[in-house]
Amino acid sequence: MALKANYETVMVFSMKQGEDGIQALIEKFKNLIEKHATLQNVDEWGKRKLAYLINKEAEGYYVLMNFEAEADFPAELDRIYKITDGVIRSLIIRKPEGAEVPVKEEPKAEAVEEAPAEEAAEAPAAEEAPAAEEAAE
Amino acid sequence: MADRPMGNRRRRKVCGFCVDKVEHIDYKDIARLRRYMSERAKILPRRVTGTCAAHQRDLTTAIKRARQIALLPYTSD
Repeated sequence: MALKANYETVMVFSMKQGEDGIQALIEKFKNLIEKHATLQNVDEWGKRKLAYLINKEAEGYYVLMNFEAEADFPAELDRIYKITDGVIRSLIIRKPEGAEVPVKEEPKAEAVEEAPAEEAAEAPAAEEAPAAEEAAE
Repeated sequence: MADRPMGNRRRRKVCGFCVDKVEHIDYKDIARLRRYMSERAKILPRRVTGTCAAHQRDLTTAIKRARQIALLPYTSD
């Protein structure tokens, strides 16, 4: 049985890894996901302030990836997150059925992100709402 | 007429997520999630925000996910 589902994962790297170290880690996880699953989208949020200190660090490097995989892969990915140095936080969630896999607006950037072509049709509706709320605040 | 909260009995509260027809609350939309948290970063109850039950449940998971990856604080102060 090969039941596949869409997943979304966010990983936070320690800034102590340095630019090269972080790029190497991103490559590592990209390859890992591609090997076991179908990588759909990679979104580097870049350096962000953490909401709370983690190991006395105030900043982290955020990367989001979407992929489609069988149900046993997320557990394996999580195991690797936990044993990889430089990963200070990670999150893997299963996308609800029917949710498209768009490149959502990142919280910081106001600018409209260039979504991959096949998602372009759905993107505008999703982006209008958050913009309006920010104005109201 | 019923614009000001003062003087009137009560203002009808409507769920902000239903108004915008949000189907899945996104844990990455921290600007929005913040509005449903107190200054001390607690999740506000439904009776304060007027969120409907279904959306409040989704909201809770979304905020907790955001906390896990340090997008939102667990406490603040």
